Amino acid sequence: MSGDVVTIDHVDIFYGSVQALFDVSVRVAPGETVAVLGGNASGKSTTIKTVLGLVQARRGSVRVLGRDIRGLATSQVAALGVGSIPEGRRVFPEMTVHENLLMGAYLRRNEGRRRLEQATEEALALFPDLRERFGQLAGTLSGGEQQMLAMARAWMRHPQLLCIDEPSMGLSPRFVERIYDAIAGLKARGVTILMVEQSATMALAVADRAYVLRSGHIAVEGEAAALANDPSIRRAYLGERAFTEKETDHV
Amino acid sequence: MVDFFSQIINGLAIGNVYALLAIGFALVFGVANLINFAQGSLFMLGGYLTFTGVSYLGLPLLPAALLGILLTTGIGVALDWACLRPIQRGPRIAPLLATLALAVIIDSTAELVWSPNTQGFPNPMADQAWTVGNAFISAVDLLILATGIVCIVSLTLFLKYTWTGRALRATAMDPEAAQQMGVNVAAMRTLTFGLAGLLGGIGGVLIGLYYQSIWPTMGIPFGLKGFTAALLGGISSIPGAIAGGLLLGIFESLTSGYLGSLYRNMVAYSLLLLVLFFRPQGLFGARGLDALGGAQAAAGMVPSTSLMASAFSPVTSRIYTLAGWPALAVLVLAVLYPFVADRTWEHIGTLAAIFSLLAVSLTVVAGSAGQISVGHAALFGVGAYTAALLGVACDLPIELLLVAAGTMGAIAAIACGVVAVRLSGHVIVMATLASGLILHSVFLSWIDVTRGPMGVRGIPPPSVGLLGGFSITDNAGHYWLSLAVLALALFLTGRLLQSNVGRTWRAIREDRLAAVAAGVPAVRYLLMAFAVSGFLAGAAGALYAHLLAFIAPGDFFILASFIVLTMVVLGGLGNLTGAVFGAVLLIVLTEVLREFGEFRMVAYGLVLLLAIMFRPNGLLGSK
Ligand SMILES: Nc1ncnc2c1ncn2[C@@H]1O[C@H](COP(=O)(O)OP(=O)(O)OP(=O)(O)O)[C@@H](O)[C@H]1O
Ligand SMILES: [Mg+2]
Repeated sequence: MSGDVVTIDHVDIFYGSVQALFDVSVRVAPGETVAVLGGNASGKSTTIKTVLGLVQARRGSVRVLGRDIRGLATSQVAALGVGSIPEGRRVFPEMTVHENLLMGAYLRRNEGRRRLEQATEEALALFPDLRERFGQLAGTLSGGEQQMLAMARAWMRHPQLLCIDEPSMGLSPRFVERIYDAIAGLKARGVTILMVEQSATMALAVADRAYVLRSGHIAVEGEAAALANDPSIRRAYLGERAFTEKETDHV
Repeated sequence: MVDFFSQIINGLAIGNVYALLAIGFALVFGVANLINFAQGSLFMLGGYLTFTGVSYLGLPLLPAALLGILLTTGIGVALDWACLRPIQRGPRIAPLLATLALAVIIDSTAELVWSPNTQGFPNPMADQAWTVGNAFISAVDLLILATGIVCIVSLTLFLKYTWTGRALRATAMDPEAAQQMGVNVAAMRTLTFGLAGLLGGIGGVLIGLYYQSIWPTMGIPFGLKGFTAALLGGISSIPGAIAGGLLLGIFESLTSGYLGSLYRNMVAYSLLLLVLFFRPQGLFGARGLDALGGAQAAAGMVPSTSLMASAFSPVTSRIYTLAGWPALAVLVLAVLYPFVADRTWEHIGTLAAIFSLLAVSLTVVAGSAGQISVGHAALFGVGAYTAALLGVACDLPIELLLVAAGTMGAIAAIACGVVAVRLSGHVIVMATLASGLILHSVFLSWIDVTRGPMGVRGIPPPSVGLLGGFSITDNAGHYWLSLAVLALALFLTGRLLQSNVGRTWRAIREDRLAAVAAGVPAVRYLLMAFAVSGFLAGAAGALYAHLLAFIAPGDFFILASFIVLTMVVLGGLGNLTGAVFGAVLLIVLTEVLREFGEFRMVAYGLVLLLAIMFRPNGLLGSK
């Protein structure tokens, strides 16, 4: 639909001769939070990379914020108003927290010092842990702090669309909760969010709609609440694998 | 009496120039992930373009220097655009070989344009100097110090406090993440090559002022020292590069002050090898080398040396090799060749056979085992000197001389290999280059044995023990001798590459980690590859010395290594048939281009560059 923030339309993605996505279609409407779920190597990161223009579709089309992004460089896609929290955080290790935040505001560099200071202040209010780490090198932060920094960095941009790749990866349950609180906070501010996640429970709680990827194919899509409550879907697709395997053993 | 304080000032001045070059290396390494061999050539161009502005356009020094530096900056950007960017996604070693080719093209073009001779560089403040206490301080020293400090400080401020500078650093740390912040990484790459050209150009002008002279190959020693300085500082760190440059400058100045300037280069190159061996992550422990496997290697982990076979390089669809009956048929034709060739072409045939042997030697270590060596001519030289000196001193059959030369070549190769096998990727190239240059300076300066620049004359014609001491004096005889050695070497090497040893070499090349995990003693196998390669190179050297009856250090300089590397890349690294094909092709090309003698090196460089850009797997493909 033309009013959508993201429209991935029947897309095939290849890495060399290896196909990672098969005929995938994903939509994100304005203000919506959409989760793409799936196991390892199911193509979740590839879906995000498709939206960011890091990979090019061999077939199908990708529209982001009203533009067909074919042929656009990732930096140009970012300039459309897309913020990103990459898989594995990818903070700039030899820059301080402050410099990382400024990199997040790179596309707003002409807005003047005052507004950027204000944005920094806001980001620090959202992620107060970062305040006391302000002058520290990002590479020396803990994993959870780095995730906070990656989120704050993406927020500096005030993006219209925020792409998040596995925010819970490698974090303790307590930290995962805080990260998801923050995501819910961003959602409440009206940001459109496309996130991919392996652990379904948290993601389905914050998302409006969700897709489940399996070996590069969309297996299921629907309202997040419905997916979360459907035991057969939970069993078949959402990581309750041990359970399923035991069952098939008996067959 | 050498004054300590003067030496320090002097070292700081030269060290500033090294620091500028080192920053160039560090920036390009960080952003483009490659070691830029052409950095030294840009440095040379800075000096020459300024010189041209003054001598031919009649400009005053300052505008000429600004113009020259500006042009060098542009050339730095242009090289990246035209030659390096197109092969970004090619095999990992391709960009490095391309910068090597560019360096040769630029240096030899400079020889054509400005003559190979040293030129006087204008220096209006040549005789302004002061003595403070015992110390002697010249105006040039101060100028270099001031310029260096201004450059370094402004660059540091730029990188730290401007949006563009931060974006540049971000790109170096993580280009993919930087892109997602909206940074145009292609523009950052352009900026980086521009900065490298700028700093190189400034360095060239300063060195021109310092020595009051410039010469076309000045980029080689200064480039290598700039790289040494960058490496000392941890290769990708700017403060490290600065500290490394100053340290190297002072160290070199003190050694040449107290030991004599003959040792200046040797000390610097040895320092490079020592650092590579003991602390490839640099004095300050930056992690920059990780990308190339160096620091991991130092930490006892073994890097992957995947070469032409990196992820994006498509496997060549066809590999052309000769074996069995067709190979025998070619051999028979080759044996009959003197019956149709005249004396000149017999001589060319002999050279082709000798260089084929050398190319086979290089392809064993560079292609099959994945250890690119650009010091190979030095091993060739070790063999040549061994055979020549033994041949002059006592009357020995050529078989014995070949074995002796081969053995010395193998020993030298192992010595170089000990440093190289722990490294990988681009760093290995620098290590072998330094080994080659050290051996070359040994040929040049160990006058008691090698007779220095005079060379060894009157090497007797080879006498063949198997033929009852028959002495070879005519061209056809030389040809058959070389052909016989080549055929034997090809046969044995072919068997070796098909044996378990060859398979293990390829396994190490493709995925060293996996090979080590499977229990392969990788270092031992790689040293074996160096030994085999050194033996063949040494034997080729023996044939060469006896063919020409006269050898001199110039025969074994890096340019010779470069030619052999071109042959091997042309043939498709790791392909024996290809190596011979490349050698014959290049030797014949040389003969055909004889009239254009001076253009020869440019032509070689172009051939290598085009091969890398359009046929990265060689004309005959590689296995
Ligand atoms: N750069 C690449 N080159 C080749 N294949 C790739 C590349 N990136 C991903 N793939 C392949 O594409 C498939 C999907 O990868 P993707 O990274 O999208 O998985 P994912 O769902 O994000 O997995 P994870 O949960 O482990 O992050 C995998 O089989 C992977 O091996
Ligand atoms: Mg992923």
